[in-house]
Amino acid sequence: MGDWKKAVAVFEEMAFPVNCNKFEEKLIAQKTICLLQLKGMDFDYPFGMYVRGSYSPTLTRDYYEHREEFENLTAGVSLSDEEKGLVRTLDHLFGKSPSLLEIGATYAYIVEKMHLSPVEAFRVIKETKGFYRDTQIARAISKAKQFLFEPTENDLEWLKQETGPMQRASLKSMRH
Amino acid sequence: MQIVDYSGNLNSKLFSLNRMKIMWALSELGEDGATARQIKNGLNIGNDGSTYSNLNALVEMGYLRMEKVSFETKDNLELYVITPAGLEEWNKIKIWLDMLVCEGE
Repeated sequence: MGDWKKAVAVFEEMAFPVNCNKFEEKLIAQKTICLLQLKGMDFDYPFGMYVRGSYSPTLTRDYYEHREEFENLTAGVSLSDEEKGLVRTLDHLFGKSPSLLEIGATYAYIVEKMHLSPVEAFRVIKETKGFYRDTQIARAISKAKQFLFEPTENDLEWLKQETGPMQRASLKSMRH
Repeated sequence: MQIVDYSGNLNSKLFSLNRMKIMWALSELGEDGATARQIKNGLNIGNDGSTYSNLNALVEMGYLRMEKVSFETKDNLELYVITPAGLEEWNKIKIWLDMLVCEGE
């Protein structure tokens, strides 16, 4: 059993009751918890790679065993302000889109937990989620990166040097 | 001899690579199951024809059940879930494979 009460609190924050008879809602629930856990929130749910992508049978067992709490969003625990912020950011980025979450969470899991390079991870996604359009795959991966991978000081410095000349040229051209 | 005797309990129609991959994958997902397109791509089964002929055969044998589910409002996907009979049969096959492996050690 994982920290199902905390998972319910996440869905409460998202105003998203989870009905375990609905395929789409369970998919959103699985991928949301996977991404938040990859980001550092601890739910104690072991995830693995399955035919559905990243997936936790323990979480499945919990939403069946506590279906009433997942549907009515009654767990009696609350998230910290920092955790609420993470949930809101994720919800804003993915907008509860099942396809974006399915691709994004699977990509993130492959990179973070299976330690494949982004190029290899992209290849696996194309193979296993090839039924999605290329544009959907690109958007989902971009959102997963935006959510999980914060730029380092070095990244920001590199970006400044790369874009600096263009920004200066752009400002100069506006003066004429 | 035990291996030969036990094989009498098994359904030989399950012994194809694709059917065994499907049974293995769905046995891990319980009531959540997986859609036909996830099965086809995730297990590298081949074309749609091969995927559906194997899935339909397993449904006819009573090892899987299929239900239509809605996805992103416009699609109707086919979701396949292993049945209790399917899980029982798959467990028998795993026991038999285990016997084979142990015999070789």
